[in-house]
Amino acid sequence: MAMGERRFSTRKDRDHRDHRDRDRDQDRDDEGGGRMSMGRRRAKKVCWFEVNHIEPDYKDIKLISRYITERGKIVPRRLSGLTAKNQRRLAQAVKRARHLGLAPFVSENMK
Amino acid sequence: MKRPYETVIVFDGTQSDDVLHKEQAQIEEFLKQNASFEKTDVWGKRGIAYPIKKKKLGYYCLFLYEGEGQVIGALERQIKLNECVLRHLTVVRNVKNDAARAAFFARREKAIEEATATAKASTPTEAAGAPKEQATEPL
Repeated sequence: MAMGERRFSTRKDRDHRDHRDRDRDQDRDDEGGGRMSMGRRRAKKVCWFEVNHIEPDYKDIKLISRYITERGKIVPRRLSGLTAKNQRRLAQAVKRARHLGLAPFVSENMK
Repeated sequence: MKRPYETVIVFDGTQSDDVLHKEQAQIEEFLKQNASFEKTDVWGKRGIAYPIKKKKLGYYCLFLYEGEGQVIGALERQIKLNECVLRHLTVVRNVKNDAARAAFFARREKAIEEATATAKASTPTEAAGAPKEQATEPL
């Protein structure tokens, strides 16, 4: 075998097209989120706590409750827009508030 | 080393006011003797988010004090003996954040005042609606 050749044969080898030229947009199975005609994304969400130079506090339920869902779950970072550090602080604050009975663990609204 | 601490105690809200004040005073007394007690921020009776020991009402007190580390152990023992206590939490105080929060709310108050003042002064068209209000952020 020549030195430069790979020993294993993969589908990509057999396929004459260069796999690097594949149409990456076709690879995704999600719909939408592909090439949009506008090409503009929703404005990047900023961390509210960074902007205002505050840290989340378990005692301030009014502020904390903006980051918990109706069911009482902590909002994930991709929706809250918080920095990693503040998301961790927020999570700790929520958990403390839950312990003290200031925030629910679960709140199923009766239907 | 002396550190600033804060302890939140949730007493049983269904007890009478006398009993609750007495319990509160007991803790304050303990802190005055064993640490440098600063103040108590009483949140009063409020509904608990979920029933604790079957109760739905709690009497919340926030104790602020400064002391050595050993104080905490002694305080916790004191608290645990008390049957009126539903929940408690002791934390090293974040003084920097407290100051920052005070400044933030002060600024916001001022902005709201200014906004309402200018709204009243100008012609009675739509009010400014507190432009600096940052409370609502739909998720």
